[in-house]
Amino acid sequence: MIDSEKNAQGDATSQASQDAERLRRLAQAIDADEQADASVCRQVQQNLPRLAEAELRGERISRLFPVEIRHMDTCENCAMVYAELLDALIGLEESIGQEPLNQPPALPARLTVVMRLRGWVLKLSQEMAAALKLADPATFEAAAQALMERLPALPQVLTPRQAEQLALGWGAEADSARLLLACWDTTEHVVTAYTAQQLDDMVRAGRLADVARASAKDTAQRFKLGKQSARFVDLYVAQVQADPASLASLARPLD
Amino acid sequence: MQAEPFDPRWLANCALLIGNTLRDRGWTLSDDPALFTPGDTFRSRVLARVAEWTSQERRPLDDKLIVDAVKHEYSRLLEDAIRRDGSRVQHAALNEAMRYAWPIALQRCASHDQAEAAILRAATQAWLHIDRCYPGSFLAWFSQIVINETKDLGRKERRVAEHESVESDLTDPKSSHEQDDRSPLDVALFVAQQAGLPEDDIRTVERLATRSWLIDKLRACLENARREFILIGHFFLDLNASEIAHHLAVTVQVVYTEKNRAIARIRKCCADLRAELELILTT
Repeated sequence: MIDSEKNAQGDATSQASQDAERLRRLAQAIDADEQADASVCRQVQQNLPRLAEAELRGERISRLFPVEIRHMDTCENCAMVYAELLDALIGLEESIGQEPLNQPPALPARLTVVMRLRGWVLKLSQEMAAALKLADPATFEAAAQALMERLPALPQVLTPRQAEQLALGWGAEADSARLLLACWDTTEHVVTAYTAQQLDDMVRAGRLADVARASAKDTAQRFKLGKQSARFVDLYVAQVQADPASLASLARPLD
Repeated sequence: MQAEPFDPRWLANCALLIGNTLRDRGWTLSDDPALFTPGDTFRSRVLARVAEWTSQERRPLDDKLIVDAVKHEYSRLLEDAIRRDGSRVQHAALNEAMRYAWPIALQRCASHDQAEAAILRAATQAWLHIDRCYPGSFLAWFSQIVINETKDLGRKERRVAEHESVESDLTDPKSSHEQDDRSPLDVALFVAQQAGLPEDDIRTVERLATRSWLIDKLRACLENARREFILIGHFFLDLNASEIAHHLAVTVQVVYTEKNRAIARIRKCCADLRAELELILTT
């Protein structure tokens, strides 16, 4: 484990013990001939951007991050990961002012939609899962995270097989995963099939719940939710009836 | 820029430097009202950061400090914007992050398509895992994600080949300084002075080196002035690897590779050195 207090004490070490520490570090590096603990490597590697940021602004990182530096003295893999990051950052600084040969892609429209929908869909599906007594929130959060990671690369309308594969991929809590996917599918369909203006008009005319019901039914059928279908549709529509404006706002372009 | 901190002339120069740093990097969110509360500005954040660093870390008040503070505060700004799901600033921040790290993807990927895939995957990861980013280090954190994504997408394994080729091409620091006849220890001490290390620290290392047989034994064992310089700089003078790399005009990866080779060499050929270290530590 990385002891962050040891880092904090780095500056306070006396001069004499610092001398001994320097020699001890060299001795440890010479002695070390074993494979490093993978969990320590993971923790050290999580901190590498902090080290790099500090090093490139001229801090003495061996004093600010003695634990990580000692680890890298003996772990060649972590040291090379760090070196590669530093080289990349130095290269970026050196290329400031030079136009790259071509520009990076813009964020895909699908990802932008996914970003807008995440909070709303996650909250709704968690509430639904609680009502249906399907899963504990922690598992649900993990399933949602896994879905978001893959969603930008998936087609907008999932086939039942794709939905099934995604749900099975999350293991024992496949029911809650299927519910999350169903919420997602219904919501994405509503907010991409209509413009924000059209949805606002539906809110004013009190028709948005009907549109949501039709979309939720379609999803339930495609995803073969079976005996949960009716409950899913009812819960979804109830949410839209309670706050139709929040669903309509998801279709609004970035202001 | 050397003037009394926070006097009007200094502040004017500082504002200019902040503006130039932002413009050179194409960073546009620094005056977006969505990211600031009334009375709060990007400039005031940078000045507060400069004041904190100069007081706590006793860093010299120079242009680099201002530029570093701009980068640090802009990292925080990007991180803040990316947390705002579905917002315009989130969209803009992710696009700026992708523009910043795009050369990393381009350089490491075999094709343009692969670079695009890597940078888009990195943007998705940054959005999903922004809670793992330590405040102020977003740009380095995002760059690390891009590097990881390029590896996942099957980057060509060039690292080993690069290191093998530079091995013979590199200039030895001893040879490049032969005209003034300085040893790797002298060069390391000089670099430490240039890097602004406290004189006390430098003198301590100097004393330690001349008092013991350690440096002689290192030299005899390594028979390589560059590796000797790297070991002295890294272990005795606390020089950062990037400072050593800068002095040797090589990449940081070369420094770490050379350091590892030096350690391996010592491990193999110099059991005496370990005993010498033990002797010093026990007395």
